[in-house]
Amino acid sequence: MNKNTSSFPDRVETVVLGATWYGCGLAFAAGRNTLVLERSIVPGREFSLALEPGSLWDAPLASPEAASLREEAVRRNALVQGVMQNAALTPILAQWCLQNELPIRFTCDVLNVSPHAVEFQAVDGLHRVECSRVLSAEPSPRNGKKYLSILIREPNGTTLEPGAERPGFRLFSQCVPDRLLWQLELDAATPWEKARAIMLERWAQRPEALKKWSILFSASEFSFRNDDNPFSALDRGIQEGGR
Amino acid sequence: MKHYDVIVAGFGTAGTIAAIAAAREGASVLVLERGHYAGGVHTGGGVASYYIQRPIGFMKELDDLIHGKKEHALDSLYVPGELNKQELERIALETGVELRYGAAVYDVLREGDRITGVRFVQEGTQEEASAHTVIDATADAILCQRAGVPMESGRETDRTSMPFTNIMLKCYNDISDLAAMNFDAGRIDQYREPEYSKTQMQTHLVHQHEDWSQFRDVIVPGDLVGVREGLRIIPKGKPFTLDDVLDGSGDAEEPIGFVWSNLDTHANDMPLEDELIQDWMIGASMWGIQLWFPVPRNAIHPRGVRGLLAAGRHLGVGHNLNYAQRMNPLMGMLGAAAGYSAAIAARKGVDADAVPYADFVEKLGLPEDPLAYNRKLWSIPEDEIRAKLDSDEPGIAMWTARRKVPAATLKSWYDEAEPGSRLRRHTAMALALKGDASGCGELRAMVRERDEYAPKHSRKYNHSRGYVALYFLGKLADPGCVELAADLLKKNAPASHPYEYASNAIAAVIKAGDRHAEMRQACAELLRSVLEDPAWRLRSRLKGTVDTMKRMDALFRCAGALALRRWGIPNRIGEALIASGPDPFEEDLAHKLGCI
Ligand SMILES: Cc1cc2nc3c(=O)[nH]c(=O)nc-3n(C[C@H](O)[C@H](O)[C@H](O)COP(=O)(O)OP(=O)(O)OC[C@H]3O[C@@H](n4cnc5c(N)ncnc54)[C@H](O)[C@@H]3O)c2cc1C
Repeated sequence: MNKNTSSFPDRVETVVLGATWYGCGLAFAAGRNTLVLERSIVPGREFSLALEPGSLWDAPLASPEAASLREEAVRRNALVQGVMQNAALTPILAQWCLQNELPIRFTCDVLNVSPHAVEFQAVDGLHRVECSRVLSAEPSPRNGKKYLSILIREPNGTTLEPGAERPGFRLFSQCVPDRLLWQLELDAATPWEKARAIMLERWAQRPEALKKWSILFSASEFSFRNDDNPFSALDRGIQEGGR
Repeated sequence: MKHYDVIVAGFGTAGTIAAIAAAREGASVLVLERGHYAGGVHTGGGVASYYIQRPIGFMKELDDLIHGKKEHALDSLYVPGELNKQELERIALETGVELRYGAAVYDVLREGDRITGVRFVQEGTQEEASAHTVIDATADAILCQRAGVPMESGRETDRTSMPFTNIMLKCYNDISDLAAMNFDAGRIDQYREPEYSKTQMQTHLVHQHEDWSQFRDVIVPGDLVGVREGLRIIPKGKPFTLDDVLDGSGDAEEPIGFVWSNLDTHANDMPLEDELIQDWMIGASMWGIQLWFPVPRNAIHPRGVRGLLAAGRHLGVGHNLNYAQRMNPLMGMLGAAAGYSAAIAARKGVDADAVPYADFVEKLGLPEDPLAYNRKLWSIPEDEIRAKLDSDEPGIAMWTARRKVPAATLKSWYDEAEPGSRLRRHTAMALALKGDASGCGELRAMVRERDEYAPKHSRKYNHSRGYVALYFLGKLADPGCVELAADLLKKNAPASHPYEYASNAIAAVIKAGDRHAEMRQACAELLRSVLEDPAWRLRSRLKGTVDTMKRMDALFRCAGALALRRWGIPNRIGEALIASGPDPFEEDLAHKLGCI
């Protein structure tokens, strides 16, 4: 392994795998001598890139940090009556990460994890960092399931009638009425191409009420619903990271 | 270890086409894609549009198919990302391509100078696969880097690449799909840590809003960095450059693609760009003038290795050509050429660059003699050139004169024309483009007057003659430019175009000092008096924004520090740069260039 010593520390106390909301919480609590390796370019991908609609937005939060970020989302009109505008999550979390100087490195592919070292590819090459502990903040399946979220839209701006018949279609409101999130439940082992094939198959058989709707965008990350919403994920990380 | 005819690393804009083309040609193909969908920046990245030109060859076939499938009418220079990613994936699977998502390549396998396969990691498991030919379509040239292919990046002066976009996808109701909000966020070096991560994190804040209820159509962040440019391979044989297009015959050997484009640079610091680009963009206000740009076959063949091809924005052409040759339609052409030649190479048991051109050129669907257009553009007769120089649209004439009209003829037109007249001023500029200083008197007058006149031939960026003249005085290293620059920088900063004047003034002083050793002390004093002041600021608007100003002083401080180092004059510009609060990219650049 070519080791580029200048751009990464040789050794840290804690390596967190994944700058998810949960991972950011872990890193915050773990203290200064931490390194967070994130595969994507977005902090909090398990909600934003997964288009995860979230739930239980009013649930109590133990940490003042998570509570204040939730307040901020409300103040910025990003979280309105239990509906979160997905795009707003990224700058809100990014600002918090910057304020707290979380040492997050993006575009890192983890090659090997042992209890006291992580080998990975970063944008400047291959690295090995030694550590006292590795904490994984990668989302993982619960009950053998995962979810693909799909943004759908009514091109003519017509909204779905309340109570419209849509068996088997789990739909979530968005901040505007002519867009909805459709969440598809999948077996955890389903590969991406299969997931999209199922999506298209199911979509072709969609109920009458959705006939005029079209698929706008399917998420680039699966959702695992490990936490109800981003703030509770952050909160959980903060509670657990110091342990 | 499993063996394939072709491995394609990166299933993005170029990689999708490469994989499908190779499979259609009968090859066994493995695709390794780090992300989770097909099409890269062109689909999930939201860059759904084709710049000016519709695709050709296989990409056109696909585009026609998608346009046929969409229920509502679409702009013909646009293809909806979601449908595109579904179709690319479907066609690849139907053609027999083996797809592995979430699989990041991180190294090559090799025997001597032959690349025989790749190492990759998928869901935490490291694996290897071998192939007759590996196509690096990762855009950032990951495998070419690991294979030790010689590379270069950025422009001559500071090796800096174009600004990037921190992509956010928005729903554009008029075209009824998601697309990237295409505005720049500054610069990033996607190969340097920790600057890369810091910049990425900081630029997420360009999307911060006080009241999101005003921005309900903003949907999701892009999952690919919006970089337009990065490392470029040095190809086998001579790299094709913009000089070949503008100053040479314009022909490329064994072309595999033709781009109909203008030189669409996002650089907002033109005075730091290469001289030919400045001549074209600033000198002749030629932004938006469209040409056909050929791409030679060697652009996908990295030097020093066998069994490895490069398809994507890391193609092996000069930096300046990248301004035209990064576009989506060309990525499809590169992918097709790489895919077809790799498949034929496997079948014939030869290297891809040994496959006869005739074996695959027909499949590329190249246009018939597109370069005839360029030739016609530059074939204006001399009397027409003179008439055009005396018009509001002198650009093409100035550029044609640069190569075709003798300096003596231009000089006679200059002498005949009234001082201050349109003909005299444009002829002075045409002379300067040829490197002839006969029109310096008129150029200096333009600077002194802060001549606001701008021609009308550019689609977007017609430049005012006052600072264009300053650019030319710098190009000519006219000794008089130093006094004019001092006046602009220290006393009479213009109210209109302050950035353009100040940045060209600094560049002019540097050029004068480079050329005239006896003037270096004076040039250095002027530069130091400006650049060593930590409070000095230079700001320019970022492309794609209405009023987002980006500080540019750090880059110009670096240029000044480098000049003073060349001249052997000690200075404290580096300290001032740090004291002025640079962003992570700028601070790293200053270190990289040795300015600190
Ligand atoms: C903001 C922006 C605006 C633009 N606007 C336009 C426009 O309007 N019109 C136009 O024609 N062009 C435009 N372009 C240019 C054009 O979109 C790009 O140059 C082109 O998409 C690049 O294609 P590519 O195949 O090289 O890269 P990509 O499409 O990015 O594909 C690279 C693929 O490689 C994968 N990859 C990376 N690393 C690895 C790895 N280690 N292992 C496996 N896979 C990997 C990536 O996930 C990705 O899928 C724009 C570009 C940008 C960034």
